[in-house]
Amino acid sequence: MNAATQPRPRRDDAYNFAYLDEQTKRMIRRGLLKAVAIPGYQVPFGGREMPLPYGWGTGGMQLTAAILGADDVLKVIDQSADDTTNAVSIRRFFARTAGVATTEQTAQASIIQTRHRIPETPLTADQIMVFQVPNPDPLRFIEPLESETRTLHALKDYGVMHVKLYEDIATFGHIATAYAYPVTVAGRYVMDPSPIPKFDNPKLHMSPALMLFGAGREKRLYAVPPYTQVSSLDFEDHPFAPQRWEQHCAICGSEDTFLDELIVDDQGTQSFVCSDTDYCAQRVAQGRDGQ
Amino acid sequence: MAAPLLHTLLQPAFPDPVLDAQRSFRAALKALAEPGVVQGLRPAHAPSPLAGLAEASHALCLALLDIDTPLWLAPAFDTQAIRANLAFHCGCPIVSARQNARFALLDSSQLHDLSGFDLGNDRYPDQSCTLLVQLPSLEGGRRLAWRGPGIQREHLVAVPLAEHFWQERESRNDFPRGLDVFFLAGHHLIGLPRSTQVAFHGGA
Amino acid sequence: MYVAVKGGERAIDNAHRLLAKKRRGDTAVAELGVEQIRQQLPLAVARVMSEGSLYDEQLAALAIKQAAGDLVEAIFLLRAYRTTLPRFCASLPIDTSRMLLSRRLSATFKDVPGGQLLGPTFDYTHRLLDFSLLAEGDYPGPDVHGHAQLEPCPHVLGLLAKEGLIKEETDLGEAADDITRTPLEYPASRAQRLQALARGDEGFLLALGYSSQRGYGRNHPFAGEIRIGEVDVWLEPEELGFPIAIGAIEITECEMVNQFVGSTAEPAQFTRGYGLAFGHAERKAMAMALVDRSLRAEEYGEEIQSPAQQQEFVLAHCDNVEAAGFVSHLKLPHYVDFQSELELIRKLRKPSTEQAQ
Repeated sequence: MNAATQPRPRRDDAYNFAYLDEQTKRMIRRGLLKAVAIPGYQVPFGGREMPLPYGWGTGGMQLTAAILGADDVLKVIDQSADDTTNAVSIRRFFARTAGVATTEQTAQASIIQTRHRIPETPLTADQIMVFQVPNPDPLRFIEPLESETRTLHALKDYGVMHVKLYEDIATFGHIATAYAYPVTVAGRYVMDPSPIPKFDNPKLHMSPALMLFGAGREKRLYAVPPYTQVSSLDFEDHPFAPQRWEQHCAICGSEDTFLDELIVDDQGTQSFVCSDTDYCAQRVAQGRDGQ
Repeated sequence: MAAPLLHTLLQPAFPDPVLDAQRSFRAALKALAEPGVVQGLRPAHAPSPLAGLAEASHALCLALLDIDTPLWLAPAFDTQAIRANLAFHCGCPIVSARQNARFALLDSSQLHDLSGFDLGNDRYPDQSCTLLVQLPSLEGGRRLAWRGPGIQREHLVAVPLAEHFWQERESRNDFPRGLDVFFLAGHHLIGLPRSTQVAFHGGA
Repeated sequence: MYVAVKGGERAIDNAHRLLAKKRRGDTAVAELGVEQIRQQLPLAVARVMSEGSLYDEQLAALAIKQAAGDLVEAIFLLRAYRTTLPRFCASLPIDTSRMLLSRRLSATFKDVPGGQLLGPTFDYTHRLLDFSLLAEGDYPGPDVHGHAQLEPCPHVLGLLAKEGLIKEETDLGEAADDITRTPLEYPASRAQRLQALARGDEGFLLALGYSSQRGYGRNHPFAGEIRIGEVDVWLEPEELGFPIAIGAIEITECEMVNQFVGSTAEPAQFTRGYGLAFGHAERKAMAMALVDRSLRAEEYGEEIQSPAQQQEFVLAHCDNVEAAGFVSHLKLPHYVDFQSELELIRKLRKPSTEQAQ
């Protein structure tokens, strides 16, 4: 069943604590302080090569390396599962280089590095979320030039974004963005919440946990402080609506979580299960099932 | 007069340079993420006070400053001991012009005038200066309501500050441009990011 | 009942062992030594050092061995190692006019002071497979002129500059940002651009340089000078106050002469593009020089129309460690986002299905 917290392993002292050198950590830490002070603003930082490829979570890893302490308990998820290979690989990296305790249980973690999901278990004020971000600028696919998008953010000129969303409605009848759905943070910056499904967007709003976002290849970091207003972009006549499923989880019976669709036989029979493996296991442990 | 020998000027920094820097940073991060809430440093993980620099001020200098962060010193902190120790442990350039500083160390005598510090610009508001303000205490002032990101409803905070400070801050805060402040006393700190709104007019 | 795939840790461990087996090949064949790679694949070593931005032949050779010959992977290995190294100080600028040349050519003048020097080159080899290399054995060494004298070899473009025919390159005396420590911001200075190009992927720069020759931002290049050789590296530690040589590195330098520009304010002049790479790396240095010149379009008031002239396009995409990482990340699971898209596309199709009925 769900692995409990793994105690602190031995640290590999061939590397500095949490791999990065102290000067790099300081540079990232200073950036994080500015990111928290200017919620939703993308702070440029001198991103370093990490021993994992760009695009595989190097931004999140650099942030985790900069904030991680000996007493932290780290959880790493990919698609909200702890046992996907990349999550395993990143968790091992920090167990080895920082010797920190790791866990699969959301409630036990002090730092949660994530790719593409926010856990279903509500977060607390003692937790920090670290998001891996591929493309930090929500305007990038509308305007490829960084020099232009920086000006649009400076002027709080988000008209192009609204036009794009409105064109979706005109064409499809709906806003055709299902993940990485843009949000406005504290009424000022439009921010890419990373490729989380829009199902998770409401979890960003007034969360007690600090949310940090790291884009290694693009060398940007940003933050949403705890208890910050985060609203998903929408229109009065087309209000934001997160995904909902008609099905429930085949394992734990949950009706209000994000479900992954599985194809279980050659006839294409579908089955739906919680994408958050820890949450699902906790419910099963409490005696729930999908029957 | 002969200059004192370097070895008598230099003092030890963090007991554990790597982990104590991390702890101090996390306290600073939490302070800025939860404006108005007092954060503490455990004495075992903080450096000793340094020639007028309190433990928390000293810890933030060690945790955040290096060769890439020009520092401006208020006259009260511009001493040979502080210069020598920050040069040795941090390697940060000390600048005399406020506009060149990424960090500034101030005491309460400086708070009536915050002119000159870099407020960042609309394209790069993160380039603004961060103020480290050392106070005798973080309590005992007028209770003011702080609101904004990081604060669920409001925090009532009584940092002992003259009205001048709030006027100065308000005149220089043009979000996203603005100054971020850490108030430091003893082993404790409070963060005041530019995003926090403080109602300081009228009322006691 | 379906259970999410478990056992990621075991799978990863075994994948590493399978990779080690792939790298080693048939154990009946002697294992390749790092020193053999360093000595016998020097051009691969040069590319890994340049794009890995670390001059260390042994580590580059090790990276090539570890990467089983995948040079982009080897570059990544060297970069990831490099980031962990402390930076002690910066060297003085290298003085390439004082290089000990092993090869030098100018396509713009028939003869130049110091002469043309063909040196070790693939040029003029007929590209016929040499089956004699299938067998190990002696090779015919070069003829060496025992009493040759060193001659000064001034930069060819310097000769044009003396006449004022080529745009002078002046040191602005500004501190250049190190792009490995400070992220690129646009518009980037020429110093930053050259750093990015020096680390840039040879294939990408080659294609862009080539595109500039085919009409996408033409800049009419001539190979003004290509020089390959050893140059001393000097440091000036603050506490010493005078420079000391710490060793020599092999480099390839290319200066392209490009068609003149002029304006009402300035007489017509040639302009130049610059390329520099570690080791023997002629193709890279030439491609870099072409792209450098293309990226100077704005400086010379040229209309920016083509990819090679657009700095955000070139600089944001020339790094193969970034590019390979982001392309390869598509192999990671994306089922949450895909599920979201599935849900959306079903929703978008609903009204049209209903309409059709």
